[in-house]
Amino acid sequence: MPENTGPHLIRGARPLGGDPVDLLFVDGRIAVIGPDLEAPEDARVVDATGLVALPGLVDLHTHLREPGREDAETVASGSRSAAMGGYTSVHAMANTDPVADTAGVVEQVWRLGREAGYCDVRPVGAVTVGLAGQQLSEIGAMADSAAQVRVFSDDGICVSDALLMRRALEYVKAFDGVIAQHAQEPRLTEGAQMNEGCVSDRLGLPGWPAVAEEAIIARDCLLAQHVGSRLHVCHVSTKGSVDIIRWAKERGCDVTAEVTPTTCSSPTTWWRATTRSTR
Amino acid sequence: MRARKPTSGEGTGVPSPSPEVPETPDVPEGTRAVLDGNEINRALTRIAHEVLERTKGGEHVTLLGIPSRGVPLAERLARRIERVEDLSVPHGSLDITMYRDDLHLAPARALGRTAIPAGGLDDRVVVLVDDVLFSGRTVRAALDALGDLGRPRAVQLAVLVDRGHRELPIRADYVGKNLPTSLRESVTVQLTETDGQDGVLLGPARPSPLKGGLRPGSSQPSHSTPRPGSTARSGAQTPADTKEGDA
Amino acid sequence: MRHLLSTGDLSRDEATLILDTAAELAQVGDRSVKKLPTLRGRTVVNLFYEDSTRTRTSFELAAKRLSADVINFSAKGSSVSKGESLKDTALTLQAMGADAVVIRHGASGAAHRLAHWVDGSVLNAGDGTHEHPTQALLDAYTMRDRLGRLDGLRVAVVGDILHSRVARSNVLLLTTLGAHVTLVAPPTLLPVSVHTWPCEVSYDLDDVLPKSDVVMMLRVQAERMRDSFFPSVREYSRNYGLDGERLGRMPSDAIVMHPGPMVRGMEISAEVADSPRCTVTEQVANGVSLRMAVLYLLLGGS
Repeated sequence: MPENTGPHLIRGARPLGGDPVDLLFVDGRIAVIGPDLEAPEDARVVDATGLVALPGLVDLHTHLREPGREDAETVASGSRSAAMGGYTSVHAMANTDPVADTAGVVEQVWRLGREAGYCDVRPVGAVTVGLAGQQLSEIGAMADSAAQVRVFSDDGICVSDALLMRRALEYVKAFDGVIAQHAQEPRLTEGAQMNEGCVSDRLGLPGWPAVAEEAIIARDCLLAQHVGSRLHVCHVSTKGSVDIIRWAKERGCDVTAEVTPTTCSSPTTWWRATTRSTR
Repeated sequence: MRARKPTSGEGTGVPSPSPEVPETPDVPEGTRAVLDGNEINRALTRIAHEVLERTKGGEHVTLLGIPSRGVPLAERLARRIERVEDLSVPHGSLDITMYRDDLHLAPARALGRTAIPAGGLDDRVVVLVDDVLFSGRTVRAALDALGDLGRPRAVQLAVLVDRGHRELPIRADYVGKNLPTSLRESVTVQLTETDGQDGVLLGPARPSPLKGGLRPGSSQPSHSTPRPGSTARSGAQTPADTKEGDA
Repeated sequence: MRHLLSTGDLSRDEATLILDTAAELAQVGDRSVKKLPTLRGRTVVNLFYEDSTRTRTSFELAAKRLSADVINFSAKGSSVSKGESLKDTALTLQAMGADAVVIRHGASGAAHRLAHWVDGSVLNAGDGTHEHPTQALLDAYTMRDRLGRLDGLRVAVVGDILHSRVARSNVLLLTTLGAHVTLVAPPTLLPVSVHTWPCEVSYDLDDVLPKSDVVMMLRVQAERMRDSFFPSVREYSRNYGLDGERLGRMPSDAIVMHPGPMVRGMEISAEVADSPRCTVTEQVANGVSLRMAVLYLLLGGS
């Protein structure tokens, strides 16, 4: 990553939303925090009056689409967007083409991130070969690679086989890794088109029941605790899931979770607003 | 009939065909009765006799009323013929909605009843019965409908009122009353069966929803819902816009 | 009313007008000249993405009896089989001047989408597992014709409710018209939110039959068994099939309906299917009059 190592003085920012102060950066690190700092001779001065200063954010769940779908996104374009939004580190999911299930692919993504130079790009490795849910990918090789992969996920597809999930959780303990699960029971969601409930039933559209997500989360929390490993739950979307994760944390399970706007938006509201519009 | 305020100049320049109009209780303002119940009955009795004369005893006659007010008129005629000749005359109704030439000018209308008497129409002398003969378009539609229902020996037309202004080469065989009218007037027939009282009223034409320059047969209807009292409207209204009063 | 997409869009007056109009038009089928000039010069397109000879023929006959020009556009052997999208097909039909499109499609909501793309009227002839409005209307017509009323009528709908567009359209329409609907099925074949529907639900056919004026049997496809909706044809038939003995426990004037095609030995026994109380063929005949009424009311006016 090209280092911008000259001194920087940021004036009037509010660290974590507190009182305005000045921050002096030297060699890429915070050297001094205090009011009315003297600017070194060669420093670049930035007026941040009214702005909040935060540590760089980490995005655990991005799709940079490279390799394979460079028409949609590249490591460079995605990490540049991330940097503009205040992110200094992004995790790039493994459902690329080819799938990031070998050291070669994760190192390529990692290098592309370094070359782009906007923020840290941390590739996520696939849990199973080709995301096929049949056999573990070379998790250890990816962990040992230059990319030093620690997060593994078949995101986009659920690791639905309970035994395979158990093995993956156990395996990553060797290097303090974490399995990020796309929680979706596949048989309960075959052909599903929208949240299962009164609207899907009325429209005759195959429903996607909340239990399809919650059942997998509950199972994986129990598995993670049983084998003493770490679980991360991707894009939680139901109240029941939150309840289960809270319950699991209370009983000592090492589980984290994330939530996104896209997976919580509801077509139900839209349908209610537009129905009868074509009479 | 909906009550309407009289318009200035209403009735001016219009021939008054019936100078001595009997008092009818429910005559809306701006409207005058041209036939009362007794006169309607006398006209129907006369038509009954004429039908028997013209059809040489009425043996082959079938009466078909055109909904809505032609139907009770056909029933009354049948009863009168039975009384005069001791002859049971088959009678029914013929809805012409599906044969109208102006369907595209208004929202789809509810259909009237078509009831063809047992024995059908083949080789019968069919007498179509309606309340008002105006443009002739309803009768044209009725003739088309008859053609799909059978092959009568002859078709004749009986109307309670002929108000003129024909747009097709059609005439009535039996007329209760010839009533020369202006296109700025409307003729409303009321019958006990449908309206609670008998009477024929002459009033100003209903205001048109369209802007001027219109002539009969070229303008659009304003509604199609059944109304109390059938009105053959004129002036800014097309005579073909409603079935009622347009025999 | 411009389209007929869902029976839920119909008010009681509108639905009654359709039934009354169909009752008048039923006479046309008894005449020597089975034709009315009403839709002369109008073009009706039958756009069928699913094979359904019965429904397509019914719509075709209805349109022809009203003198409309009818074009049958089936997915097989047309541009659709070459990969054309529904929207492009719709725009093609639009360019040809179709006044109405009758659409049968495997996807729920297809008719609704189509209605946004064409200027003419869209008639939903069955979309996925969503609705089949003309089937429900002809069912209501048949009930009224046989039993003289709909208000207060007790109707049991039995079978695969979950996958049935006929059931959805019937629940909405019959409720609008004042009938009381009870859905009867094993819990696996009922939608999870069925308790929010304006009807009763029962898992026990024998409990419902004596209290029903009409029983409507829905077809149950054998492939549902492979998907574990029920264990075996024998068990389904024993619990939810209508046989002569069960029919005997219904009120003496109760009728048996079926949207067809029937699977004899599955949801209905041959004895019941051939009984004079079974209205299957009447439903087919009424379907033509009913579809004439809908076409007239959608296309006959301005």
